[in-house]
Amino acid sequence: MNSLLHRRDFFASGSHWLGAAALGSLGLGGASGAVPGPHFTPRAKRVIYLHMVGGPAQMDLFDYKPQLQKWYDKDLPPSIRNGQRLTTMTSGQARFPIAPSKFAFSPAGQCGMWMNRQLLPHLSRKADEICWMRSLHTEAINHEPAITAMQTGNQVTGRPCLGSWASYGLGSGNDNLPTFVVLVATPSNREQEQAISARLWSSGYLPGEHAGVSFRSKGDPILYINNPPGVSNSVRRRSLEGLKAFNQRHFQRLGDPETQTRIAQYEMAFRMQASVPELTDLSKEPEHIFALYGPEARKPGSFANSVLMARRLAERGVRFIQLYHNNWDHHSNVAGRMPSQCRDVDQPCFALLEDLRQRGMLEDTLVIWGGEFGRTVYSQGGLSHENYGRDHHPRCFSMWMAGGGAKGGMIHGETDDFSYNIVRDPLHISDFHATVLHLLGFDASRLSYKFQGLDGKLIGVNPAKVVKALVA
Amino acid sequence: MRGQYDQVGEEVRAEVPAALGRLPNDAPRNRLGLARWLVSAENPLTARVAVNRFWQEVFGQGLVRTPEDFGIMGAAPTHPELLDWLAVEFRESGWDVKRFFRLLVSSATYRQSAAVTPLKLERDRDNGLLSRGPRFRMDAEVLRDYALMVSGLLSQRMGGPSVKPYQPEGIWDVVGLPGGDTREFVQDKGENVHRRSLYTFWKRMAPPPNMEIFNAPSREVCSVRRERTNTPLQALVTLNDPQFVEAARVLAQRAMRAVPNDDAACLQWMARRVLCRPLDAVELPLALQSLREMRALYEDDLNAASSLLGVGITAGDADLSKAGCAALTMVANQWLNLDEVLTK
Repeated sequence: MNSLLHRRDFFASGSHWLGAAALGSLGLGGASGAVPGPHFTPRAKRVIYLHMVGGPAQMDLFDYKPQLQKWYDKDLPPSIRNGQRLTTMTSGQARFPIAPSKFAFSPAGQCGMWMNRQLLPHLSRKADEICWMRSLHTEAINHEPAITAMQTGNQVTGRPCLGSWASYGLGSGNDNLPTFVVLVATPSNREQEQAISARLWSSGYLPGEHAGVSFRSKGDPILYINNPPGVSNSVRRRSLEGLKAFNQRHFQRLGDPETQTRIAQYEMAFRMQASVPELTDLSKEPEHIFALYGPEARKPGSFANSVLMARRLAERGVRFIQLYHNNWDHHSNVAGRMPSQCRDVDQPCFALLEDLRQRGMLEDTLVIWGGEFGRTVYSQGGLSHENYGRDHHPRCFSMWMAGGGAKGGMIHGETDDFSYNIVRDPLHISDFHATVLHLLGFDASRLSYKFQGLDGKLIGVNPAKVVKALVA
Repeated sequence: MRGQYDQVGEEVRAEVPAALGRLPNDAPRNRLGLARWLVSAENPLTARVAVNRFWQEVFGQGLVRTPEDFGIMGAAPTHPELLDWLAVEFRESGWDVKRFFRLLVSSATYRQSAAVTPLKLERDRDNGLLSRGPRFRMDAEVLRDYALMVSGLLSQRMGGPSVKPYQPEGIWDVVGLPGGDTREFVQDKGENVHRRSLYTFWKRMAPPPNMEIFNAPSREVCSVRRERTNTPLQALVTLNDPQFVEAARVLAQRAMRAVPNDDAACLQWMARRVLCRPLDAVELPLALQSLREMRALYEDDLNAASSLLGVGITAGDADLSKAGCAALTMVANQWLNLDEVLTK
């Protein structure tokens, strides 16, 4: 309610506020009084969050467990499982045979991060710029609640996601693009995709302008951004000029400030129409950029292409870019699926970090990579030396982040020999959220919005701690 | 206790929350007792909550601004006596909803001009004192239905299964499961494209974007109050969505059929349908100029005119001049985007 009063005050106090007020009301800008602003100087001014939908297997990528080789096809000791709940996809299995990773691990960088350099050769070259986190944990064991919890801090839908909080807290950094943009990349292999939902980027109980705006690789990049067939820009321009004249006339008659807001919105829509083609036209990117991101970057909708688009959005002042890459739900055929998943993301992730570094943007751009949970060390379904499957596992999983104040070369947290339970420095997703908000300049316990009589927060009602070890 | 069925505690009997009163001693402790209490004179809350929602429907905001919450965290009524009077009136009329809406829309308060004067802006910025008539942007469904109605496209058919009108490509696909029965969107044909928005098929993981952009609730939880934002993405819907472009085209076709060869009269015919009033002495020359400019542009590019006239499933009218029809379509499209049209 306060923001409304402020906005109207601006209208009342003079036309120079119009642009700012309009910006604030449409998720295209943060100049209105509604933006709380950071509590202290942010380390990160923008975020590129690469969400791996389905839950990548930590012990096949970042959580090295050499001891497992001698456990091949032996049963997971009951002392490790400790009676913890399993999904119904494997709880009925007669056995829980250990499946050691079939991939080659070796240490990367000065920090000596043991990782799957066989499938992630490019990314491993950035080991010392990356903050590795091997002790994430969550309560949720199935995709929908887990991804909702990962993004909104709660398994129950309806809360604002991290991107909406960033939009609400920091406002926009530009005046002709949305504040919070969503990109859904198309993986090379789509056979094990999980459904994701537009509700993941809804603004929850925050005002609607903080919802993510989906940029699409097919059809209009922003919904309805293109003029109808047969309507040229000059026709549209004239039409909008006439529209403005009519609206002005109406404003003279009724004097409602909302009419002026609407006039500003139509101007903004036209500016968006003008700026989006330039944004989405990758043909102007130089050869060396395509060499950096790899040939897939030319293919609309690929992960490489989407990551390059994310960099362009970040460059133009978009505050939060949420990118989804699907097909990480490897209940079976890890051997067949993992290589193409890694091929999709390896070079582009390296390229993004390198590209941002070269542009001087890495230091204030936080890049996050990770899924909604981890996977089990025991095989789901058949196990052979060549192949295995892995079920959902919420008790530990690995993520990484880089830039934006995250500590490069940090290897945080440790799991037991089975990558099943955490033995050192557990990192609950809520603490992770508090840490990300900290990098954005917020005290997570104070970034709140009144809703149904409560101070709604990303971290919910329980305390969460900033993990200082992750901060440079 | 604490939700454990095998830990039995002290026996309790059905009662209403103490803060709201008590069931009469002789009332049966079941749903019938509760129902009687809900509508009894001893419980004013039911009628208050109901009339507040009706008021919100008509005036854009309730006398209690938090229609979902009449408790201590909700807003206090702006006009408590009026709220009580309306509640008693509604109850004593036998809960007659139609009669109640008539009472609201025939009231002097409702029939005031919506004009905002500097004084009103200063003293009553948010119209909490009801110093002027209501004025607010129409809801998503109403906007679409309105465009269909004025163009004559709106189907009057009631009931039946949900329908799938125009939707941009790929909306369902990106969130759908492989093999899921709503992964591929297949648009309906014929009348189903022009049914009231109430009948539009709703996939909750990816709702119809032209509804969502105008603050239609997600339908995941009950909602008694909508947000009412004003954004450029909304402008893009009403400017470019085929649903609205087709409505503009069909409206233009009808206007040209109804009033051939007289631009001014044709525009006035269209104004009466869209604005419910004729254009005034300032607007008519503006509209005429717009129409003539557009016509000149389309006469130079008949292919563009054909493209525009091809939007939507409704047949074109081959007897009409292409450039003229395209130009009038753009005028209609412009009018369907006027603040006056989008706003109640």
